[in-house]
Amino acid sequence: MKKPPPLSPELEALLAPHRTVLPVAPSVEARAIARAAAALESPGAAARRVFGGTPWVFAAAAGVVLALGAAAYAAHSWIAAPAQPAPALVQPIVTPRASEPPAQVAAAPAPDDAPEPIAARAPVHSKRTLGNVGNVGNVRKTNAAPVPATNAELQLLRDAREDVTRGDFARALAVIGEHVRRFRNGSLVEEREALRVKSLAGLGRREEAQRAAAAFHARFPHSVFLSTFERMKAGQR
Amino acid sequence: MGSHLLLLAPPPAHMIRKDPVLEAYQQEISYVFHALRWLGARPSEVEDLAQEVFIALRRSWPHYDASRPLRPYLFGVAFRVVSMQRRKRKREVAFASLEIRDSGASPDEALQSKQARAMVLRALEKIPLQRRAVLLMHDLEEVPMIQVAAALSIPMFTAYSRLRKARKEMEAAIRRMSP
Repeated sequence: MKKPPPLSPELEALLAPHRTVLPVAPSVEARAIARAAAALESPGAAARRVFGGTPWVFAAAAGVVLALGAAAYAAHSWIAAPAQPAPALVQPIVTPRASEPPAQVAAAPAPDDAPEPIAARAPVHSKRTLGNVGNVGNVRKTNAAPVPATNAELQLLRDAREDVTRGDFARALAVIGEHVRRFRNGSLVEEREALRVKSLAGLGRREEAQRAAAAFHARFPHSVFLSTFERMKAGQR
Repeated sequence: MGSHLLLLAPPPAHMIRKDPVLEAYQQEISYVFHALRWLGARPSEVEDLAQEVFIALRRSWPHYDASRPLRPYLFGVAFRVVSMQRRKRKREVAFASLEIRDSGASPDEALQSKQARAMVLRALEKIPLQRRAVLLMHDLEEVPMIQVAAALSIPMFTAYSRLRKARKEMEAAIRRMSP
């Protein structure tokens, strides 16, 4: 079989500068090698696919935990207030949260100007894709267990990200503040804090951006966003 | 969500078991990242996909002919990993909108070389992955066609056909982007 014709000069000029393989950052390399070495040590875990694996085990476990929690809450309500009419039959069962006493859940209709109905904060689904975004190497040091992202939480961060993309960093910070207020320990904290660093840097508040980046690094030492910060930092020099 | 493996700090070098696949991977880690990026992986996905490449490489290592160069073989593995991931991404809810990507105004992208790279990547995006892989292997990586065909498990005729089409598509995409 004959050789293919040579590349056109136009394509050759375009591709030639990219033939060199650039070395990856040492931190990224170390992380990748550590992950590979860890996969060698525990091949069972390594066999699990990173993308689109089988989340049914987690979904089933979460379902059991939620069902037990709901049953315990219903039993508690029934035992604690036997004289009252049975509200549990008509009230929606929401995920019990440590920060929200049951009284709030069973409270009468919220005022119209309430920021968000409590039910909206309950997990809407357990698709693993929700929490998959940029969570590689995520280490959460908060005491509260991560809560699945709700549509409201997601929408807020989408808004903030769009603001960052548009260059409206001040508005992005406002949205981030709103996210802190409503979802302090939500499941997208890592993404929120990364956006905060970008917004502060975009506003030229370098010291605050550096502090936020340092805090981010301490909280999420394996985050993929760290390389983005490194690039931003290199670009500012 | 992240595996517990991700929480591990990098183990000291002396604790990493000697493993030929790991050694090869370690030696070519930059190339793996390079190949994945050119195959169209998003920056936020590259590390996960590199891990997938390692796992696939380990699985297929007994079939690797050590007398042949490793890079074309690695490229073939990376191509399969990216193809599989794309098929899955189509079925899953896309959350790309949450990715933090450098905006066009960032200082990095203002650099000439980055702009050129971005332009090539944009042009490559217009080429279907199967043809793009052939073009990248042959025209960017300068891998002989016989090895391209072997790495991608396709007949030589198919490889040539894909290369010819991919070049045309690339040229057309560049022409469309040029002012």
